[in-house]
Amino acid sequence: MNSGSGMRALSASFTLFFLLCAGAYFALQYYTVPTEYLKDAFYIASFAVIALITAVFHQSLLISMSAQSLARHMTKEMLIYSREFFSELYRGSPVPYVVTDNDGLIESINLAAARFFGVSQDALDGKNIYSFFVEDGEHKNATDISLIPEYFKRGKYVNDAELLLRRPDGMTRWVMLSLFPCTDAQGSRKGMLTLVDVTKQKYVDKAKTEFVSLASHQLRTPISGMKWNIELLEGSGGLSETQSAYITKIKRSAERMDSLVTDFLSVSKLDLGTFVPEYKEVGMATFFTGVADEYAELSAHKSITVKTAFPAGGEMMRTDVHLLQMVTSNLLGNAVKYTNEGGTVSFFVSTEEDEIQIVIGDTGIGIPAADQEMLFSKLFRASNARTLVTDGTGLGLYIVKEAVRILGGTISFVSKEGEGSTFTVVVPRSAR
Amino acid sequence: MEDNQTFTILIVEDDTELREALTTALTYEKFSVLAADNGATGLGMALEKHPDMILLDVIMPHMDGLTVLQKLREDSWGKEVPVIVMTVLDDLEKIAAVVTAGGDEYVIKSEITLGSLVAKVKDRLARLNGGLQKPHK
Repeated sequence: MNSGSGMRALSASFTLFFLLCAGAYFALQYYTVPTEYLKDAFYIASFAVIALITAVFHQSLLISMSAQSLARHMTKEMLIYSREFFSELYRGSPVPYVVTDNDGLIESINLAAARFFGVSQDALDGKNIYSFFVEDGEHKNATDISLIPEYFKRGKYVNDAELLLRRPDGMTRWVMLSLFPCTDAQGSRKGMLTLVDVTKQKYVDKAKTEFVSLASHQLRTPISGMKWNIELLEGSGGLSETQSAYITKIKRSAERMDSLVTDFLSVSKLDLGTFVPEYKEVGMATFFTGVADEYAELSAHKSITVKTAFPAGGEMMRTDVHLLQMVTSNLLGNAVKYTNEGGTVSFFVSTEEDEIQIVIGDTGIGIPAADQEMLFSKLFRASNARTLVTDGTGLGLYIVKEAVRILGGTISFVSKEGEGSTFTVVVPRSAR
Repeated sequence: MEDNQTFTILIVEDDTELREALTTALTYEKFSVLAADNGATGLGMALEKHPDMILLDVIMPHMDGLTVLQKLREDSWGKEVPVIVMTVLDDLEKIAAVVTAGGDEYVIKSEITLGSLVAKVKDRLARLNGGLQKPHK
């Protein structure tokens, strides 16, 4: 700081000058001096005081200037230190980080990401991160990869999207992707991605579901064995009334077991994503009448009036029969199951443009407000359902929700405890 | 000794309860019934005894149903014999194409009643032979 040292020299000289003047003044005090000299001494003294003030002032100026430069220097040091600290955090984090530009081209990856991809840290620069994600042919339910670049460009965050990734060496891994947009110092949009390897969890999940599927299939054979032998027993003649009654009970239990196994199988198929929809042209009236007929006996037994209204005889729809059957049968079954003796169930189907609207209502026990949010979760049963109707797995509505989703439709409901519920399902009339 | 008036049905099914229930029901209908509890034995019996119809399970030890069917069709007699394949739902996708392509039928064991299965057997035999009496040789 050249000006600084010059100023310092100047201040020093003024201070020295003041001291000399002060010294001279006091010296003159001792030895009587003519008045003219005093006047001069006074001027010299004032000048010296001014010099002193300037010097002091300048010193503080100097001090503040030094303090400022010291502060600036310290801030710079701290910034450098903190930048190094955060750089180290980014570089060394166990979570794979990838930084991309607005179009998804990779600008940098940290060590964990390099390890994850099986490459060196600069090997992926310039490549499009989205090119590493692949469609999983089996799991049609996985997140739609093509949506993510769009979300990102619109400034949206992506949280925990489960995707299949293919490494440069060909190996595939399942990852949970999170992506958030940020801006760099120049104002350009960048993307920060984290990739968490969830391959192991995915396989454990899959193994569990496959086990449920295998077990359920194995169960089907002895269930058929029971049912067929019950048939033989019923046809064998010479049974007392009591014996017949017992046989009927065994038959009911076998049928319940069969229905449970069917539910478990549906759920495991949906969870594994192995359910492949098969679309066919089907007559609407025939289909829906068939579903209604399933519950004719039960509703008659409970004196429940079932009102139906379906489109006219010739009207067709293109859908997956299995899935739509799951949806309507479960909903109608619930309506009848949870409605007390003498109640009413309505089953109305209508069409509007390219949509089918299915409305199933009942005057049953209804769903308590507190339970409505969790209603479609796996194994969930509403509190009043559990106490009033002990028979139920809590899988039905989960299956319905998944089936509706695969069909590309929507489901909603309104319900009041003690008054009843109405479920509305809307599905495309001519699927894909 | 074979009764020339009635048809012979071969049941190839590894589950004892199902196999015996089927045997009882078909015997009741006056059919002559042969039974095997695995694919290899079943194929051997078929090629040796030439039954009039075969009820074939899919998942079995030693040789699965679809392999039995394939080998059966390679035989000059086996080409013609009517087969009803019995399955549980998971192999459905696999077999539906194979079975229907060969002109055979399949039934889902867990969904069909014994009575309906027997009716199907009778129905098919009657159609193929113009009635339930075996034609005299």
